[in-house]
Amino acid sequence: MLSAYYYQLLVIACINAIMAVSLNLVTGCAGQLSLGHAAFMGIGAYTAAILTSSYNVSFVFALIAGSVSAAFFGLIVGLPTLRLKGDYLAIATLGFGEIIRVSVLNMGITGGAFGLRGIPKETNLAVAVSAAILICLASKRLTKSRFGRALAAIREDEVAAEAMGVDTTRYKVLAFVIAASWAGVAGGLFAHWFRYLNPSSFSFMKSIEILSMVVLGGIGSLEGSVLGAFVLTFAPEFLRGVSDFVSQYRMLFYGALLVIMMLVRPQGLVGREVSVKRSYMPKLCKSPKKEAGVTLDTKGSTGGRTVRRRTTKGEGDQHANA
Amino acid sequence: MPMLEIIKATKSFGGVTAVREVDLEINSGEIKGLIGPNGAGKTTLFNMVTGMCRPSSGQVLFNGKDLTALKPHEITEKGMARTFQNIKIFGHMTLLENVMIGRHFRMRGGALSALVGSSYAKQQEQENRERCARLLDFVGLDADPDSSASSLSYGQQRRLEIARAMATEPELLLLDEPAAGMNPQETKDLINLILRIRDAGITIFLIEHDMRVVMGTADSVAVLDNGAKIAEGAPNEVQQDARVIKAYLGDDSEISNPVPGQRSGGCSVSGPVLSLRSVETRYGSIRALKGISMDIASGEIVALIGANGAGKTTALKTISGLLPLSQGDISFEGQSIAHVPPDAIVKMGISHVPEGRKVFPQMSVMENLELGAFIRPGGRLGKQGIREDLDWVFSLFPRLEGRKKQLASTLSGGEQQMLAIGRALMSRPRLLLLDEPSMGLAPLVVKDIFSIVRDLNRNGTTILLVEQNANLALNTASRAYVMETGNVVCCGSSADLLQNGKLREAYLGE
Repeated sequence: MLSAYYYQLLVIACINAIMAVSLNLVTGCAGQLSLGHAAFMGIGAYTAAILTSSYNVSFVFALIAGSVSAAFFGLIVGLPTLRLKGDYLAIATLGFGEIIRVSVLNMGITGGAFGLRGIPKETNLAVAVSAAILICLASKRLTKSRFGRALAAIREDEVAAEAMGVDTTRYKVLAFVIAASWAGVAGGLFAHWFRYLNPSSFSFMKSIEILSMVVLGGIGSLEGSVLGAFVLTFAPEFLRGVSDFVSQYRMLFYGALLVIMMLVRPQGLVGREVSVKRSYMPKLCKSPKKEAGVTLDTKGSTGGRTVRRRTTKGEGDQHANA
Repeated sequence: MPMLEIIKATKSFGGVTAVREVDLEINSGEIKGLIGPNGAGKTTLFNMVTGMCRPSSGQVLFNGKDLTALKPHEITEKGMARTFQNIKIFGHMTLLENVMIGRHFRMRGGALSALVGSSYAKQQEQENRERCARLLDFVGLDADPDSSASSLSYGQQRRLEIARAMATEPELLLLDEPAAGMNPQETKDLINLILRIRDAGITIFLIEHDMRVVMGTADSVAVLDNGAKIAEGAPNEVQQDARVIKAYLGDDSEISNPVPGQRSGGCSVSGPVLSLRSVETRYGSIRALKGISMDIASGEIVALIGANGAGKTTALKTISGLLPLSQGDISFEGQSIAHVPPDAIVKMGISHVPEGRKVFPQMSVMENLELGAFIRPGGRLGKQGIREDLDWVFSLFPRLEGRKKQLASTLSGGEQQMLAIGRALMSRPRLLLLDEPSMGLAPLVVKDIFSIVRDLNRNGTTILLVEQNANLALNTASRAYVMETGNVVCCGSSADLLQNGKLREAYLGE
C-alpha cells in the first residue's frame, strides 16, 4: 500500500495538475498571461467549503457550486481585463488575485486570517484522479475543436484572427471562464482534502507556482502541464531526501533546477520545438517597412506567445507620436 | 451602386494626417490597384476599410452599408477579407489549420459541442477540411497541409494568407503588397493567381509596389501621395502621369544648386573608406541582399536609391551591424567590420540615422543629444568636447536650441529628423549613414535638411544616403547606386543617372 506521505503527494499533484491544465488553456492555448489564477482556486475552495461545512450541502454539489462561482468571477474579471494585452493583462490579473485574497482575509464567513476550519474530509485519491482525468479529457476535446483553433489563432496573431472573422474578445473571455471553473474544482478538492483553508494558500506565489508548472512542462501542451505539475510537486520532496545539505538548501536547488531547465530546454519538457529564443529578439524580419498604418497592425499583435517581450511596441509608440 | 465606396476618408495620428479626404469607388468584378510612395497612407486606408482603425472623419460603405462602427470580425462576416503587408500567418499552426481559421465564422458549434463531441461538429470539420485543402491547391501551395506554417518560404506564406482570406468566401479581397519579397517567378505566378481569383468572381483591391503586378492585373489604379489621392485611371495612363512620376521620383526643382560631380562617375574608386564585397543578408529564408558590392571614397556623398523593398534600408542596417550579414565582407578604413557588434562600429566612426528617425520619444532634446555622445570619454576634457559639439549641433539646427528641454515626442517630424541627425553627429562620425531623411516632411523642411547635409559633407564627413526621392538624392550626391530586389542594378555619377531611363524603370516599371 501507498504510504500516507506519498498518498498525500499524489492528491496534491492531481489538484496541481488540474490547476496547470486550466491555466494552460488561457496562457498556453489562447496566449493570455494570467498571474492571478490561484484566486479562482480560492473562490472555488471557500465556496465549496462553506457549503459543505455550514450548509450541509453534498460534496459533489458543493464542488459544482464552487466551480460555477469561480466561473462567474472569471466572467466579471475577464470582460474588462481581456481587452488588455501582454504585460497589462498580467498586472491586471495579478491585482485581481490580490483583491480576492485580501477580501477573504477580511470577511467573517471565511474565517479571515484564522482560516476556515471543520471542513469535512471528502477528497480522496480516487476522486482527485477522476477529476483530473475528466478535466484533461475536456481540455483535449476543446483544443482539438473549432473553439481550440480559434484560441490558437488568437495566441499566434490576434489581429489576423480578428481579420479572419474570429470574435477575439468573446473567445478570450470564454477560455478565461472555463479555466476559472476548472480552477474552482481544484479549489473544492483542495478544501476537502486539507479540511482547513487559509487565504495565504491562494496568494500570488501560488499563481506563480502554477505558471511555473505550465512553462516547465511546455507551454501550450496538455501533457506538459500535467507532467510539470507532477515534477514540481514531487521535486522539492525528493530533494528533501537526498542529503542533509541538499535538504537544508532544497529551495535553492529547486530554483536552480528551474533556471537550468529554462536555459537548456526553453520549450519545456514536452513542448513543441518552438523558437522561444527568437521571440526574445527584436522581430527584425516581420516589420522591415514602416508606413504610417503599419503601427496599427503591430499594435494588436504584441500578445503572441505569452512570454514574448514587447519588442515592436516601442516603434509603434514613437510613430504615434511623430 | 459600387461595391465599396470610400467617402472623404481621413485619418490622423496625433498631429499627422496619414490619409486626407480620400474618395474611392470599387465596382463589383474589378481589380483596383492602389499605389504610392512609402508613407503615402495606403495601408492606413486598408486599415480603415477593414475596421482595424476608425476614420477620423468620412465614411466607408460596403454594398451600401456603413462599416465605420463595425469591428474587424464583423466586417469580415459581411464579405470582406484581407492579407497583411507584414505577413501575419499563424506560425505554429499547420497550413490546414491556418486556412480553417478563415472558415471559423462559417462554421457552427462552440465549447459545449466540442465537449460532448457532437457528430455534427465532426462532419462539419471534415467537410471544411476538404474545402480548405482545395483552397491550398487553388493558390498553388503543394507543401504538406499538416506541416507547420512557419516552415514555409516567404512567397508561400503570402499564398497561405491569400488562401486563408479566400476561405472566408469574401466578395471583396484586399491584398496588401502580396508580391513583396517574392522572386520573379513567384511574382509571375502571383499575377496569374490574382487573375484566377478575379475570374472566380471575387473583386480585388490591391496595394502593390511591384509595377509588373499592378500593370499585369489592375483594371484601374489610384495613386496616393502624402495621404491624398493624386491620380486615378487606367494603369498605363497613371504611369505616364506627371504628378505620379513626381510623387515617385521627386521634383528636380526642389534643389536649385546641384553639387557638381566631385569625382568622375563609375563604380570603382581608389582607396575606398567603406567597401562592401558580395554582401548577403537574410531575414530567415528570404535573401534581402543578394550579394551587393559598393565602394565609397572619403569625402563623398553617395546615394543608394531604388523602389520600396529593394533592400536599401537593409544595406544600411547591415553596414552599421544592426543586421548580421550571412556572406561577404564589409570593411571600413581598411578594417573588416563584418562581424563587429553595432556599438563597436559606432566607436570606429560610423553613425546611423535610422529610417523613421527613432528619436527617444520620452527624453528631452538635450538628453537625446547627450546619448548620441554616449561612447565618448567623460572627464573634464571629454565633457568640454561634448559641450562644444552640442553648441555645434545647435548652430547647425537652431530650431533645436530653443527646444532643448522639450520631449522629443512633442517635436514636429522635421525637428525630429534634425534631432536624429544631431544625435548621430554627437559621436563624431567620419561616415554618416542617412536613411530616408526626407520621408514625410514638407518640401521646405526637406530643403533645409539637405542643405545641412551638404554642409556636413563639405566639412569632411563622408555620407551614404538612402532616399526614396531619387531626384533629390541625385542632386545631392555625386554618385549613386541603384538597387532593385536585393541587387545593385547600376551605378554611376548622378548626372549620368539623371539622364538614364533605367532609373524610372526601377521605380515605376517599364
